[in-house]
Amino acid sequence: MTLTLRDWATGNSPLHRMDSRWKLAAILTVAVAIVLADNWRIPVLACVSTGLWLRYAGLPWNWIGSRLGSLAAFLALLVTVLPFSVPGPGWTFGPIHFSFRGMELAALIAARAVTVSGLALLLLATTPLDRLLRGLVALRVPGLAVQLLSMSLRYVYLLGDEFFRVRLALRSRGYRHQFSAHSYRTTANVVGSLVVRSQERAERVAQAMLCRGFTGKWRWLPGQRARLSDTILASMVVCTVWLVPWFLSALCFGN
Amino acid sequence: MLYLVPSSFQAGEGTVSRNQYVDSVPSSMITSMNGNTPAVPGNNWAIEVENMSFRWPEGSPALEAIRLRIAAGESVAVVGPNGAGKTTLFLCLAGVLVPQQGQIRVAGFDPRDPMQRRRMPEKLGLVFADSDDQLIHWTVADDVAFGPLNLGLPEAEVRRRVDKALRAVGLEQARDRVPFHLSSGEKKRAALAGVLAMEPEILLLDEPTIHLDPRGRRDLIAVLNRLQVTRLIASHDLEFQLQVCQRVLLLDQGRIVADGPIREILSDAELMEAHGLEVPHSLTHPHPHVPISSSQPEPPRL
Repeated sequence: MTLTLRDWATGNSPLHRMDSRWKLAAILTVAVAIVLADNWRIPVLACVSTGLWLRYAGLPWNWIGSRLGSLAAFLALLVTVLPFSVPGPGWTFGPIHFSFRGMELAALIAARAVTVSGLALLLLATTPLDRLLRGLVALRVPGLAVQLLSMSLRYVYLLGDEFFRVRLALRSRGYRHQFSAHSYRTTANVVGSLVVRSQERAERVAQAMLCRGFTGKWRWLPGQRARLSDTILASMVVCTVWLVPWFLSALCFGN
Repeated sequence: MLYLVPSSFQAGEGTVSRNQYVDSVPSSMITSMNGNTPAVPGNNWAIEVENMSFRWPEGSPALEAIRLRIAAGESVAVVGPNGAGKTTLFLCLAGVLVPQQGQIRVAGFDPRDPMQRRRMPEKLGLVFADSDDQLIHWTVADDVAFGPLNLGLPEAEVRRRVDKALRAVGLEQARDRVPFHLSSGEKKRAALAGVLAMEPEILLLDEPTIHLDPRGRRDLIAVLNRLQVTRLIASHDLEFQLQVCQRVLLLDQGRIVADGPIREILSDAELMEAHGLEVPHSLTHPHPHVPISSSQPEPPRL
């Protein structure tokens, strides 16, 4: 198993080179602002801007599409149902009523979700994880939370590898999953053995950390130094994804 | 020279094996018998263990009445069958496990004392068998810096140590790589660099050649032979042990059954057989081999 996000995070666009603290601050600010927006036009315009930033970062559309695909499936259901279930002015076709308010609500929710997911992709796909974690530490995110995040991500892949090895071993001995008591028992045994292995590994990791003088405080070497260009780029992200959509919405539609 | 153990000097109880080698001479002479290490007078032992026993919480014994002394700069192989207690011995020496009985001094510290145990990482480094247990950071350089940062060293010193350790193991080019994208050999070297960056006086290596290909193994031998620290190396790879150690401790069922010069102990077929091991190929007959293209077949020799 490989870290697919990491593959993109080693690119060379200005966003890749940007200081992770400024990037985190800008993207988190914009994401919160988008979530709080109650006018559907703002997140829709922000969604377009986010798409352009993703493209500017050199991320291919098909990759972005595949990442947002599962979200789109859920949103499609929402967008289909809401216009027909929310009361308000609209069009009526016999027993079916299409509500404008429902349509706006669906657009608001869908655009918010896609924009925030796109921003998350932009952050994760342009920042190597070590720099992202350093950025979190610099922004005063509690050390324990950063430590948990780092260790979970570090070892979930290892656990995944172990799972695939066990699956291969089962297949090599003729096992095929079926809806039978034998299959459920086997699955339970695999899950149980993985839990025990993870616990044993966790103990060994803790021992190894103690042997290297770990006392509970997660320390990092200082990372990048922020430059003026980082500040400018962060401001541009905030402007294009939040301020410009807000201004356009206010200018053209008066709200 | 090897000495049979008098029963009064036995570590723990049990029948004395004919092949049970332990030094029966004054402790100050021990190292003079063990290969290249000169005799060290007084208390200049890197590791001193007296009558140490460890039992797992469920009560099964893991180590029984261990007695050993290792001089500063010595390179000692720890061999034995699976479950002999090699890793447990290392964990006890590193202060990770606390033995129920016995006296231990490691680089002047008592690992059983919590206050002293906290300071031990400055002096003792343990490289675990599975490098994935040790590589916890997202870049090799960050991982190597983990130990020195825990020691509270200033940034410039940490960076100097990271560079030096990566250079020592030949991983300068991999400093920004994700540790789990490395090959097994590189992972092993990264784990070793993480410990070397702490500049320990004593290095414990648990199964360092496991998962290594011949090139990785060869590189590791070269790295280890360059190091000027006290080394204890637990491994089933006896040829590897012959290349990096002068002395050997043979453990079986939690006891030290032999301690002495590595070539003499590992060439004792009866002793090795009795404890689930084999005489390494290089000790079975003189080398070099006759070339395979030679018309004369090599006569079997033992």
